[in-house]
Amino acid sequence: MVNEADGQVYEKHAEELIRFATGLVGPSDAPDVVSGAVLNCLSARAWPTLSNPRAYLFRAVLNEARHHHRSTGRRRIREERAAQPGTVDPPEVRPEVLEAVSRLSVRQRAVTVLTYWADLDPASIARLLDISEGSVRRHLARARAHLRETLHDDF
Amino acid sequence: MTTSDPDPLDGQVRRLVTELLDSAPTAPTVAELEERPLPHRSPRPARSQVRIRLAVTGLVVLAVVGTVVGLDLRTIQQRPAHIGHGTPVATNPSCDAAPGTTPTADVLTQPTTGTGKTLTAMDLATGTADWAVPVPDGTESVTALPGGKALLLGYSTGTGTTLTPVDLATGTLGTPIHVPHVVALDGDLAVTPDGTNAYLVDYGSDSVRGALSGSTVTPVDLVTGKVGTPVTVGRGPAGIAITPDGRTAWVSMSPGTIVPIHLDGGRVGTPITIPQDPGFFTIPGPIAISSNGRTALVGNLQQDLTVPAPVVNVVDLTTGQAGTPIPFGTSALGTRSIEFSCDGTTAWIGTDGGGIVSIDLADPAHPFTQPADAFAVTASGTFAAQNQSGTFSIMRVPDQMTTGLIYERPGGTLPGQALSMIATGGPPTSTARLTPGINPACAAAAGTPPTAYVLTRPASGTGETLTAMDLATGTADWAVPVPGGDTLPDSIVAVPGGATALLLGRTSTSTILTPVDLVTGALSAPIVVTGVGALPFGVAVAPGGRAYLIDGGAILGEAGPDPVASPVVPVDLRSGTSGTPIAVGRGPGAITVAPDGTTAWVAMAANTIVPIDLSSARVGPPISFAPASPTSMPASLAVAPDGKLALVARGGAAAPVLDAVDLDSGRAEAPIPLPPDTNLLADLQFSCDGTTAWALTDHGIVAIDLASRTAALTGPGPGAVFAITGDGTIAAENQSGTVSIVGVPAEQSPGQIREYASLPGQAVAMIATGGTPTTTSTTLPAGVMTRSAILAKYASTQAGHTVEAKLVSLSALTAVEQELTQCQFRGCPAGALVWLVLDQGPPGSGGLSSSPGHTVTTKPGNAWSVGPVDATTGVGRGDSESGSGALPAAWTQLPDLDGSP
Repeated sequence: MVNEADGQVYEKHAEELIRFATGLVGPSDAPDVVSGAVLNCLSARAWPTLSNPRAYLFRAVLNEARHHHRSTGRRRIREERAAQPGTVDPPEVRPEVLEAVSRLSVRQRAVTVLTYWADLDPASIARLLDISEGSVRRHLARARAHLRETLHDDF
Repeated sequence: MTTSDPDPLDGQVRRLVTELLDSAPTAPTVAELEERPLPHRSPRPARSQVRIRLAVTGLVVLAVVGTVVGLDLRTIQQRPAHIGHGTPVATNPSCDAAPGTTPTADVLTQPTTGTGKTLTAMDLATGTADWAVPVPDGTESVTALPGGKALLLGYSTGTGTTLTPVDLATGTLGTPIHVPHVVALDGDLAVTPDGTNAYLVDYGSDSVRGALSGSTVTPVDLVTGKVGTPVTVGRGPAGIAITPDGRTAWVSMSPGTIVPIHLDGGRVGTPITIPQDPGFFTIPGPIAISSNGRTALVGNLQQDLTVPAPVVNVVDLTTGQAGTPIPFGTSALGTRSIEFSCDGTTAWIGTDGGGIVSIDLADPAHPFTQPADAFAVTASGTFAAQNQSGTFSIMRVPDQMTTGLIYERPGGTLPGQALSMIATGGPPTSTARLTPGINPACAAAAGTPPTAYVLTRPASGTGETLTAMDLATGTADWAVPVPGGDTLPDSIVAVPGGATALLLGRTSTSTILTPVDLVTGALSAPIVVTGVGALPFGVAVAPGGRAYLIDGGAILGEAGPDPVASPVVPVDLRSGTSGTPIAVGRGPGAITVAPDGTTAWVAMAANTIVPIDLSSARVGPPISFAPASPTSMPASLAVAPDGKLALVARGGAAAPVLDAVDLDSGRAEAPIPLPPDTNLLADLQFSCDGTTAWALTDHGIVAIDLASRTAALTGPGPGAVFAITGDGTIAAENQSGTVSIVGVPAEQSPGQIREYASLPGQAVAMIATGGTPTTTSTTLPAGVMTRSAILAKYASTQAGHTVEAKLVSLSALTAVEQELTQCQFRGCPAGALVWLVLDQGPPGSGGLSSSPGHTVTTKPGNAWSVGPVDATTGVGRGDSESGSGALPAAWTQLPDLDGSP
């Protein structure tokens, strides 16, 4: 049972977590990733002692997304082969968006989302994800390089 | 654009991110959170409740079931024991199987679509199923018990955990034992070594919010079916293993400890703390205990992904201290199961999403990863099941090889997806180990006349030709020009299996291996091996498709004071990739693979021979023999078919020496004297029966009678090359611009040379395939062959027919063709069917042909037969048809075969 205090912490950040997860794994899998991450957080021994649970939740979502991304890779390929076009993701996201995102690693997606959606600077992203500022810059530079190749001028 | 201009990319990326995040669904509510299953933890298709599988597969308990296997002290003493006190050894019923027992894999599978799980016993010698039984849908894993039994573990909401015994001989399911209120998923189960009692970890709940909320371990009497009183161990038990003496169960706990339960009385002892990674979400899970009870390996069910690599923890149970965790790769997410190899030297780890990993416990810094979904350790090695497009293949996997050595058992495939696997069966007998052979001619079935494959060079001009000479008819089956220029091959190497050989050529800086299909003469793309120089000092090919080359890139110093160190480089012939060089020391000069395929021997300038264990790529202690001359260098090396005697030919400035080394005792005998004035050159080979050895000298071919340890020149003189066959020894002798292929008498007499065939040019190198001809001629039924289709030509001649038979390649059979191509190194998959067309004309008139469009024609007037044939057994399946004259139109375009048995 999620206790009331934990539930309030989650509800406070639920919206940004689901958006963050959508940026990492797409809208279809985002609820699973958020659920898994939050439940992991709440069952972690360190949870009650955390001073910055928001950062912890973001890191958990990122971890869960990477986990999810790896463990479902082969299954996903098989399912996508069998699925009818248009059934994998909601139709409102253009295929070129998904295609562009699919070329990024989960970490690259994370720094891209936090940079362009949350408007965080590399130092803030580094603190949030508990990685070095240099790593943030590297991930962002690689993501931008991929996207420059993928996105057309009229995007 | 100036530096102050905004990069248009920023706007594009912002639009992309906005569009993507605007599609975000509603976040789960707290209530939904509690009911939502955790995301997938493994490649398996998820079942709703089983998604919360922070549990161990059934395989882990293999490590703790059964009796203690006897220690192989010789093996253990060779390996430094870096883990615990002495080398841990496996506790696994399969490790106790009698030698010679064929391994059987018992595989739990589920279909790729729909429901219905099956337990199938696959005979790994034949690739066929002994039996297959449906099992309850809730079945999650299978666990081996002593005495040819197993235990199925299942779980379903409302019912709880169910244990169902299985008789592995018949597949008969016994009476299920229900354990209500216990949530044991995926094999949170350990069984005492005598197989009488099981202990189940209670996961706590099958809903997400209850994950790891259990606190008990429940004993079950497997004899009476009675469920005992649960033992309270504290919150969060996750994995369990029992010591080989059956006295203690160790339970891994989610806070990062392992807790002992003294099974006599159920008292819980003092926990041992497991080191935690600095990240979060690291939860200990699977646990395995060595057979000496001193070492526990504890994996993490789940691990923080910010940690560079997943780790397995090593715990000394005698001191209660955890050692430095062993990292094992970067792609795995966590550990699902751990098992010791039967000799205890290797830890096998089943991971979540990262395949299976083997760790040499004496050298844990170099883990080996193989994609697979389930595995089982046996005394014959480790087998893995790998899912592939709705079926799975069972493979043998190496302990510590970076390339190669992975092959499918013939026919070892099953529909569905592998969930869990155990295996039984002992190590192969020595007879069985010798069967594959290194010389395919010796392994060929009796009754197969030999075919000689001769690499010839024209007496004048350029251009080499490889010719397959059928020595029964004296005609060429095929002749193909081989690549010239700077890749000119100068030798041909037989590949175990007999379907393929390697042409060995070179450029100025590298060695070129060109596989050639011995049935068709088709050359495959050359494998360019760099890092071994232009002239490797030796090449040997092991079963499984690996070649070993001695690096000739370094200048080999004169023997004696300071020969140069050169490594042995393994090359995976399937992938064409070179593996990690194996350092053998200074002055390697010749290499051979022992007939059982387990060991390569390298002859060194320092008057030693050095073994390489091919399963681990580890170099063993050298065997020394007396130096005959400080300047002698090893030129050739051969090991007898029984693996007991090695011959080393050494040359150099001084007189040549032929050394004999007893490999059983590790002692050198007195050198075997050579005929006067001969200079030993190369190419030592044993006859198939091991009674004679042959070598090339500057005076001709020498036969060495091993009973008397004497050597004498035979008929074929200087310039001849020879090949060993099951029929004896043949030589290709150059004579005035042609090559005569002759039989070499074993009685060391210059007479009695039988000429089989002649070819234009000069013989460069030769190999042969084929066994001992029989005098009995049998009738070959239409469409029925006796060997693999890829060797159909031999099969047809074996049966005494004057038959041309070739594998028909049809575009509709692309998949099967590919499988057959793989057969060259891996054996044919079970049940693969191929069309076989036999054109039964008189000798030398075989007229079968297959056009590029795969239209089949036969020679007018010849008899023919056609039918589908099992690629593995050569047995005809379904309808076949025979006739004479032109092949009916219906058979010129053969229909598709589905490849199923």
